[in-house]
Amino acid sequence: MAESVVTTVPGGWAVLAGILLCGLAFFAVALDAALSARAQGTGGGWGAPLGRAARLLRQRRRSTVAADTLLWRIGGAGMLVGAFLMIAVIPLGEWTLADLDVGVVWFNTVDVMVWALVWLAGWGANSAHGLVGGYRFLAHGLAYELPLMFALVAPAIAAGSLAVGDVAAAQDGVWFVVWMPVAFLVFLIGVTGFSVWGPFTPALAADIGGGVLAELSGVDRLVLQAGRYLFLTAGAAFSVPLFLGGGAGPVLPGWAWVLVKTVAVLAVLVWLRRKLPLLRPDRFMEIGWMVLLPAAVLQDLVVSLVVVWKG
Amino acid sequence: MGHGGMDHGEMDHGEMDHGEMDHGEMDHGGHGGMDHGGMDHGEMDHGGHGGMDHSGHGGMDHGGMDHGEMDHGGHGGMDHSGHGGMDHGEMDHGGHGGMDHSGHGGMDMAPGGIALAGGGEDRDGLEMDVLHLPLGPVLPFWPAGLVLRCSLQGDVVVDAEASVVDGAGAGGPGPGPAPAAVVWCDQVMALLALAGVEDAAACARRARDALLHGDQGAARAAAERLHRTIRRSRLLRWSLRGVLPLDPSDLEQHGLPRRCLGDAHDRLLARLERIRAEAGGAEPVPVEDAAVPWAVLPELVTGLELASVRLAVASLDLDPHPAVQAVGHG
Repeated sequence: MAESVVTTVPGGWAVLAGILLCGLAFFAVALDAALSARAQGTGGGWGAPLGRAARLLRQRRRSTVAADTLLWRIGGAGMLVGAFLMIAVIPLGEWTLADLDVGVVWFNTVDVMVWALVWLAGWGANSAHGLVGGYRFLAHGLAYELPLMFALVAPAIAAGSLAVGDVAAAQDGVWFVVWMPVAFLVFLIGVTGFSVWGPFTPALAADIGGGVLAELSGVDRLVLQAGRYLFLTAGAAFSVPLFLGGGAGPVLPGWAWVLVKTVAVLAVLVWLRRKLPLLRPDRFMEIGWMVLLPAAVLQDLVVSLVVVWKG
Repeated sequence: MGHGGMDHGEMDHGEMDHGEMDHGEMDHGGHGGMDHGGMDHGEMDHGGHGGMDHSGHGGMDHGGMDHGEMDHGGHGGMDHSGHGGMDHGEMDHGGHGGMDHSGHGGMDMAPGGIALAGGGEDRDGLEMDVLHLPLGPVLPFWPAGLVLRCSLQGDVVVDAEASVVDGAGAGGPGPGPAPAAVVWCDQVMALLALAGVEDAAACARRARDALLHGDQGAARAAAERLHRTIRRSRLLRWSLRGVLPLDPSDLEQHGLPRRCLGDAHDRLLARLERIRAEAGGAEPVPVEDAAVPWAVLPELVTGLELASVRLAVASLDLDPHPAVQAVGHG
């Protein structure tokens, strides 16, 4: 490919990237716990997730009769692994782990994998609650995935490249979020969707006893829950090179700006969770197809026209 | 099929449910030496056995069989209980040619002891698995003690049966009767939690706690805030609109009190108004003390999808063990 705008670092740095991702995800967990505690009017919060995680690690693994253990574990562990695959293409300032020509497509591929993972996690337990939860997620997926794909297309058209580094570099004048706000919004909805987060948690909801989580215990439960937060974090991080100008910003170095913007997006997503009701899968389908999809396509059209007009 | 030497003594086939079995072209020849003594085939239903050949049953002893009330027309209602909790509900036995039923061990119809899901006709006329799922008696945000045995196709409740553990209205050994407004707060909290608005649900919980502690000021503040939040949330309205809509004729038909009018969102708002009035220290709102009868629940929720069922149940102020009513009548 042509001269790259980002430097590809040796694979060993993946460890640091993973640690960064985990740190940011823990920030999301802690923030959520703190907001929860405040709403309930109880003290503490920030440290509570550590206690919960420790308890899950010590908890004995519970199993169900005739569970499809292999698929069940694949579903849970896949959620943990997927998020790490995602961040491989997200540049931290000027460095990236893998400067793929098709970075945007890579991101999209991983997020589509979540469909299978959540459904498997629901299916494997051999429980009606889990199964209903898994299918609820698929229904949501049908509604958010296509709009998300079209939202991903907009920055790629504007940058004329599917490489994430190029997309970030194409925003040296004005950030994409400014002139493609619809795509940004739809992208964030998609991120909450594939993280099974906030309004997209009917798959894990209390009305079906926890749904996909109903039969998960101990380390399996910890792994799947951690995977959700990691996906949320990776999604928020991906919005930075795509819409928020990558590492662009005054004073601070590029990598610091990426982190700051990621934290900001993440905090908004975590905060919003408490405010919004669940989007019921049956009703959200209509919004996904009648509102989000046309809006995203229209956004792509506008972006294309602007690109053509500018020559 | 070779049933030679089988001893089916003491089998209880009462209420077997072999619906949709197709035993056409079965050849039951060669049942020599079977001892079917003591079988109770009450309420069996043997439809569609065209072409069966029962010749050659030499030496069978069918003495003592009770074929009373058999209906040879479709295999409804058989029950192989006594076979280790197997549920043969609506299995399709078509095409089991050459099976060896001796000892009943060759067929794994219940892997791990759990029966396979039976089939049933879905709304669109296609066959779909039927799962049996009890809701309650202990479930978050669910009226304590209420059990709703649902038959699910996908996540649609196609059949339901309601009951209450420990008998209705027995009044458990609870902490004593609670003020009505406290119970309303709890019910509002359950509905909001099911709808997924966590902050609002937390607010309802705080209002309840304040009421319980007699902190009228805090209760009023929380109730006002809750009312404002709920009324302004368009997403919540979108989510609750049209959930179990009841018009006056429905109320009459099911014997429901007038406060159940409208859909889940209407009922939520009405209850919030009452909480607000109560917390605001206004004169007590005249409360209809007619309880919502839980027995009509199956009629109300059949045909709804599981999430709607939960919202619908939470939106009716069901109280199978009414602690409040105990004040008035006790």
